[in-house]
Amino acid sequence: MSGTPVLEIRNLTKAFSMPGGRDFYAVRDVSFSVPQGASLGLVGESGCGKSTIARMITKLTEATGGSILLDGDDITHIPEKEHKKRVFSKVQMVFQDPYGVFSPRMPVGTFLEEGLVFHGVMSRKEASAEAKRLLELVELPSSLLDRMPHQLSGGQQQRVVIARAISIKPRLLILDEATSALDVSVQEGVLKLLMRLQKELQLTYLFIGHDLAVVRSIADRIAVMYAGNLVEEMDSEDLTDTAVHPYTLRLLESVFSIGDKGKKHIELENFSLSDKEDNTGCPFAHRCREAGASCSKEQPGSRLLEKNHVVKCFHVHGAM
Amino acid sequence: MEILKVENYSVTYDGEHNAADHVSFSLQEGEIACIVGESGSGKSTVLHGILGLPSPGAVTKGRILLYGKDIASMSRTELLKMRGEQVAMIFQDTGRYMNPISRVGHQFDSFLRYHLDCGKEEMHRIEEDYLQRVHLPDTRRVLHSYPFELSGGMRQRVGIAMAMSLKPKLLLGDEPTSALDVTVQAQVVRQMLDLRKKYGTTLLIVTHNMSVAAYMSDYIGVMQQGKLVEWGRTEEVIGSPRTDYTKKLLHSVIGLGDIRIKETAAI
Ligand SMILES: Nc1ncnc2c1ncn2[C@@H]1O[C@H](COP(=O)(O)OP(=O)(O)OP(=O)(O)O)[C@@H](O)[C@H]1O
Ligand SMILES: Nc1ncnc2c1ncn2[C@@H]1O[C@H](COP(=O)(O)OP(=O)(O)OP(=O)(O)O)[C@@H](O)[C@H]1O
Ligand SMILES: [Mg+2]
Ligand SMILES: [Mg+2]
Repeated sequence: MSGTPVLEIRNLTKAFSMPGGRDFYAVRDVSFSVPQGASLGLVGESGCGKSTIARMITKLTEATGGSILLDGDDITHIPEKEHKKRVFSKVQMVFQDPYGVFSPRMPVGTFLEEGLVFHGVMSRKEASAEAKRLLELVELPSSLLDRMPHQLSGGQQQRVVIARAISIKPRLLILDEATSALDVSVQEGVLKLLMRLQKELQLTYLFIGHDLAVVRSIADRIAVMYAGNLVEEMDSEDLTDTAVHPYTLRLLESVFSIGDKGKKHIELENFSLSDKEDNTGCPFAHRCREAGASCSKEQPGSRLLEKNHVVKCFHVHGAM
Repeated sequence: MEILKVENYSVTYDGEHNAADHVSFSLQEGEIACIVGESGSGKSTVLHGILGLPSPGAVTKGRILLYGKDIASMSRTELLKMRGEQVAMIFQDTGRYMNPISRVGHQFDSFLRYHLDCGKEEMHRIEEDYLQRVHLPDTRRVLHSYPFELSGGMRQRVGIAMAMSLKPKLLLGDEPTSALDVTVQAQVVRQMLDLRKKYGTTLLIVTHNMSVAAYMSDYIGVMQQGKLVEWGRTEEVIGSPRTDYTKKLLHSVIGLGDIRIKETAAI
């Protein structure tokens, strides 16, 4: 897996301007890359900027700093007329909110066919047979082909959107909470399907999710974000054993497991964070049990620990 | 005291298949039940029925009683009052139920104003309190935002805060925490349990997360193809499931150290 990565983002930043003229940084200075055939799992607090990164890669929103490279091609600021050729032909995205992707009056079958035809994968005639096969792949009956999107359950919508995204065999597939509306049994089927396709077609995945076990089961590397910042990145195998950032540890502690009934104690966390726009110090400092005086004054830089394990925290002393 | 009784409730959308098929169960005040099951098995359909909000085109059979009163017999005004105060719902996809062109704070205001007789200050105190509880501490920004300016999980939490803010007797949740990261999820679960502790709230929660169901519920119901195929005390359903489908579900749960997904690709 050498050569130019399929996706590389460098110091990517997105600031939204807020009333009163101040800026809100949804994403700040994030860098990572994903080689061909690999998957990067992106996890982190709700609202930490994961979907914003995905939306910048798919040109739904413009980056305010840094750069995005697809197969080495810098697409950060390209004219709109080049989007189809340089972005949409390579990248597919499964959105967090599947319903928004459908046209409300377009039946499921047509929705699937449109994707194939638009991207020149096949003719409309061939596409109608393919649509049926695609539904089977995601464990849906072909009786759904004539349904309107609002006549599907949440998980059925999500699977139709996944089917459309994989039908185009994109270089890069971004999955934003793509399996969160599925029951665990169907989810297992969809995850296996994704793994099989990746292997067969050397697809590259950016997999955003909240279920750490699910993300870990599919990703080679895991990047953890907090409040717009990437705070830790490591091989996914190492997540449970070697994670060191206090926020990553907090995440791991919070996972429920089946045997937990009545045992797990959830402490109520109280913190106030009304004017978080000042950028001095570590973003996690106000909630961190380890935080010392320097944490709220200075931003921790990246440190490289062993085995491609990168962390931003003053309290971690690694190899360097 | 029995707060909810669902009796042979069936719903069909096409006149042929039952999206919900003779579903029956009941809940006493203060009990917590979680419903798990197949995607497309009728879970949302049942919850919408309890709220008196069946989808257009749906034909229903059977009865749903709230405090002994048949929901079908309620007038429109009775239903509107009932929703919010007696029964509140956290929708699977809150964003879809919000007005896209109105600020979140404005929507929260109108919601509270409809149900409560209180001044502006009290209203804002309640909003602030409940947003904090679901870990949206930057309340000023949240209330000033349009729905599209919030992340998926933030919109979901606004929905949770609104549903909890009226302290309903019965709180329904359709996948309330699946859009949330695990630390926020744990906080929200804790808040829901606190509602029961403080106010005796009854909870009926649909979730795909078997571990969350196991953690918070007294009862678990399992749905498959419109039928409630299993209903029992949580320990029993988890510890000695009766149906093959429940066993399959439990078996499909992916644990933190699980490598079986990657193994399939290696074959
Ligand atoms: N158009 C916008 N205008 C202003 N702020 C925005 C806009 N879009 C997103 N934000 C803010 O950017 C932050 C990051 O949002 P994003 O959707 O990327 O989060 P996320 O990590 O995907 O969260 P979740 O897990 O809840 O989906 C949030 O605080 C959100 O309110
Ligand atoms: N308006 C409608 N018209 C026709 N069929 C519908 C309609 N709404 C739902 N259905 C069908 O009814 C069945 C039950 O749907 P429901 O939304 O209750 O499932 P669910 O258990 O909530 O699934 P999920 O976990 O995927 O959200 C599904 O097969 C769905 O396709
Ligand atoms: Mg998101
Ligand atoms: Mg549903």
